Amino acid sequence: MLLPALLPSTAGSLNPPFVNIGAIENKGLELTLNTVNTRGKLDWRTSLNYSSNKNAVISLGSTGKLVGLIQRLPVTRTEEGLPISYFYGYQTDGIFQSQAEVDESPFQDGGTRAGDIKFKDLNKDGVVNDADQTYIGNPMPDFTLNLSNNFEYRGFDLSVFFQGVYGNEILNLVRRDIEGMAGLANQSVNVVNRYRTQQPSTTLPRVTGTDPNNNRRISDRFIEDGSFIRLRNITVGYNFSKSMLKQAKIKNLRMYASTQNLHTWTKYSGYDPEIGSYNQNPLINGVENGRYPISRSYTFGLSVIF
Amino acid sequence: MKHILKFSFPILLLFAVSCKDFLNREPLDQLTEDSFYKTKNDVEKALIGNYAPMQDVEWNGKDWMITEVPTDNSAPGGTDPDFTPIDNFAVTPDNIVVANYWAIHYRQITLANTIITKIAQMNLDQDTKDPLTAEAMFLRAVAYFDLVRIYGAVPLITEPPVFGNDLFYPRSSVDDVYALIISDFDFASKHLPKIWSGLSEGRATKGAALAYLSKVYLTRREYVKARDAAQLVIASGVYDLLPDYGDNFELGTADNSKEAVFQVQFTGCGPFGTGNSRQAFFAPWGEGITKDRDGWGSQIPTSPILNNPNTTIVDAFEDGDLRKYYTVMTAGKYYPTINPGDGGYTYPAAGASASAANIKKFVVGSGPNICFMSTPLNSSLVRYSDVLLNYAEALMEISGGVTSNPLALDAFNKVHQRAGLPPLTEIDRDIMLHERRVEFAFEGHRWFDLLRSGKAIETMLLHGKNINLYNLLFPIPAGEMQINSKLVQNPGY
Repeated sequence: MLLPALLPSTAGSLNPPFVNIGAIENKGLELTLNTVNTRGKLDWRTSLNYSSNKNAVISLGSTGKLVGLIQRLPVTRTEEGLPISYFYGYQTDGIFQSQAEVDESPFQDGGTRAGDIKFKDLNKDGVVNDADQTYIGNPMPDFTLNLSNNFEYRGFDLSVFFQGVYGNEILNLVRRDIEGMAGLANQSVNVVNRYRTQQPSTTLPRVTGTDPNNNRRISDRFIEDGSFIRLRNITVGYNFSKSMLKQAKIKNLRMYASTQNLHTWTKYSGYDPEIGSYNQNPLINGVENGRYPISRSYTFGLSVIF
Repeated sequence: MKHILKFSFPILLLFAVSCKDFLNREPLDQLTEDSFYKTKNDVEKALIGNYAPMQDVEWNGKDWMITEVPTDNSAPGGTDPDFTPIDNFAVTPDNIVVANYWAIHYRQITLANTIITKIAQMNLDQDTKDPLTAEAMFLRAVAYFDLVRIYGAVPLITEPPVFGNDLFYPRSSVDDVYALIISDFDFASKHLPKIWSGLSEGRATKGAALAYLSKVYLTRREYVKARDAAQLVIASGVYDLLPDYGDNFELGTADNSKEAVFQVQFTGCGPFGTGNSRQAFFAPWGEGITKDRDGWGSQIPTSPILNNPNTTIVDAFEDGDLRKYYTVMTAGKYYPTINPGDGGYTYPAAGASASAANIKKFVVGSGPNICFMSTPLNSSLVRYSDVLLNYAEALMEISGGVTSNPLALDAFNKVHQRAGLPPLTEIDRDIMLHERRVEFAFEGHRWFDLLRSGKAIETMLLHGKNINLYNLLFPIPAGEMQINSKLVQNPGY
């Protein structure tokens, strides 16, 4: 695995050299099924492609672990035995509903109050701190599916292509800004559901201005299911018959309409669950930092060959 | 077959050459660290590059987030969620401002370490080497002096990063960091020139190194040494106060003036780093005085409508203190030199940027070679008034915190009287801290002054902030903690 060497910024933030850091293993299964369903007047063909992959880092040599940073904020880790660039942070355990609950729970901060997020004290030492951070998600999908259907009927043709990705997670850093309730920046409409004394919430913490409990820290609060099914492409066309065209001295005439990315079925709250790596950094995958979403496009065409 | 043999022989010969030499070639189209350093002139070029981190927006543009925002001088305006926790002593290790401040300082240190090491390996005589080494050491010490006061015991690195070596340094001790800072400034004070001229104007000088030494010794409570270092700067005759305080912040009079002991140099409108970016953060929002883009008002002065009365910078100035006008813009104040083409600028009576006041320092408006986020105005790191007050502070501390020593009073009153105020006949710690506050507001001194005087907690509690002892140090950035497992976090974070 060739990666830029991970250096602390005490080394001067210079461009690090590429080094052969370790080895990763990708194990999976890829199946493709092409079928001709009907022939004759109606010609219907289907192609189904399934691919699953399990990624694990098998060795990192002496490096031990790698950290993926976005603007100096650590968001991912890469370690032996775990998938590359897994999300690293705190696990949440709901919202404190009372001061009594705060007092009974492991210490988080002197300013922690009802309405703050309860983080899990994984090592049970009575204090929630750096040592309680852990694996909170995997950006790699369990499997991907591609399904395309092609129909032809009396000069008409139709193709429909679905793309599916299942089981990957997304770290949505945009929500850290628009639901973070820190500073004076504009917030998402979701924050009307925040915790208030009169209107307790079990989903979103209170607003404080100072955020003593650091509710914005990287935690599973910002992890979302990135699975989706996308209607990637539909194309409808009509080829005029050759006999008809002969008189007009046209060899081939085709009209078609096509649309890309017509619809995406997903639970993901951001614009586009198809995120990929951040600035081509192999250590940061599936981290939403305001990526420009894929566009929907419509095409109408006329193809004439003389 | 014959042909194959004929052709394969030279090819085999190619492989017979040591594989190492064959693969390790110097690139011919660019300079590398190994091929660059040949002459004195090459070192000079590298040294000029060593000033770049200070000109960077992460240093000059944003250091007020660390040195002013936690104090009673300023509050964050605008929308950035990373400023508010700093203002309220709720900062966490994942704060980006804290990470960037750390990184840009270590960049300057890394560049200096490389230059110092390269000079030592070069074939130059000692008299040529020493001033060059001194300049890099000066820049390294400036960076470490900030780091040790903000983070405490930081990793003490004096070698360039050689890949393959262990680059994960543990934290050193505060004493060891100061030992390096003092030896670097000391060496610099002995080998840097008294003045630079021409295009080299603004580079580090003997006076700048001594001025820093006096501040370092004050911080270390070594008051006799602090006094002597400041005394040497005063006796050098190179520096003087400008007659008008405001000229330190006006285009045309501020840059490399008699009062400028050490400034970060800027040339004006251009790519990041060539101009001073502070104006973008300080200019009031919604007033349009920076023309091509509007000011952000990211840092706003503490004022009676926002903060506890009697503790704010707007209240801090005595009646008749001429410095107030040049430091904060308040209701109805007229500034003829901001956009003179438009007849100047008058601060609105109702305030701007949701504040009763805005910062005037570093706000110069718009014009030829003056851009929104790139102005030609230099930023002073050390003004001569700082040296005079260092001298007075050292004498005051030598006599136990109160003095009417005429030498101390003379130095103090030079600064005080220039502001249009009557001379004092006795000074004490409170008077000194106050004088420094109004003299240097928004120039990056206040947090360090509060730390040095031991009054940070008292002052900020009075200002209405929930500050604890551990807040006197900032956290080690989270990214550094995760990458370098040898680091130990400051207590409380």
